[in-house]
Amino acid sequence: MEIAVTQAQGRVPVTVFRITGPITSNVELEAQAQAAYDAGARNLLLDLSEVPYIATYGLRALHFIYTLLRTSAPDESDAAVRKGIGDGTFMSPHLKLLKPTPHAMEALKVAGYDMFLEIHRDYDKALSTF
Amino acid sequence: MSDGEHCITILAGPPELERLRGFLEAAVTQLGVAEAPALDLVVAVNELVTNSVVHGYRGRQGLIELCVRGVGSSIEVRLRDEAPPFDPTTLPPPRIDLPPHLRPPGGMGLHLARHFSDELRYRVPPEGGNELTVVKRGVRTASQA
Repeated sequence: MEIAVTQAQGRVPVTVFRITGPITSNVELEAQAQAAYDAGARNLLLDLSEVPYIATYGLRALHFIYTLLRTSAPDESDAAVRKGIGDGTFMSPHLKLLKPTPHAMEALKVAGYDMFLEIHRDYDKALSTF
Repeated sequence: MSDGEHCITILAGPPELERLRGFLEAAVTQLGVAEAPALDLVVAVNELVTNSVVHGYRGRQGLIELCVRGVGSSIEVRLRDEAPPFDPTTLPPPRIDLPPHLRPPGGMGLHLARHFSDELRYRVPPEGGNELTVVKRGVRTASQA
């Protein structure tokens, strides 16, 4: 797996990870996300268009990043998230996904990750939602 | 009718998983499976082998044997290890109606394996350990089956 990191600008700065290869380990993706966070990144777009599949350790990495970027804002509290997922109104404002391949998309749905992570097909539109 | 088996034995540890995934993908491709169902099998088997390494051997040294064969239009992947017997097919599905940090831990690997396969069969072989067979149906064309 390779990760290319770029910076983009929506209404706020957005760090973009373009991932190439299957995500079968959490280690590298978590380390890159932590490094970006330590450097000031607070919004992350993961481009999954070149990821043929995601294993559970990849899902674990997405969870790690979701938690890393989560803030103490009231609308991100446990209670708000639990209610928002139940209502279908909560999506992470800080971590979003771009163009997952069909197999990666299926894993995200099966794991329920599409219930709290926005999934976009268009790069510019994805940036504009941050 | 079944074709000849393709087998590999690996050491139970994360460094060997990439080799196992590559072997499996090549074997099922050789058996006439298209890319999408081949990836289904790779993901399902990867999760089950990971569970064997993490929950079965728990860091101890051991071996995992994987054998692939075509049976009619199906593919069967047999996994054997020497870890303490444990039948994962009896486990309930995980809670996916909650965000991950509010979910009870565990069960996602098996959940993915179940989703990306058509059947999981478990037995304890006479020599002990565990045997799991992953079945994917209707993935080989008539000329290959």
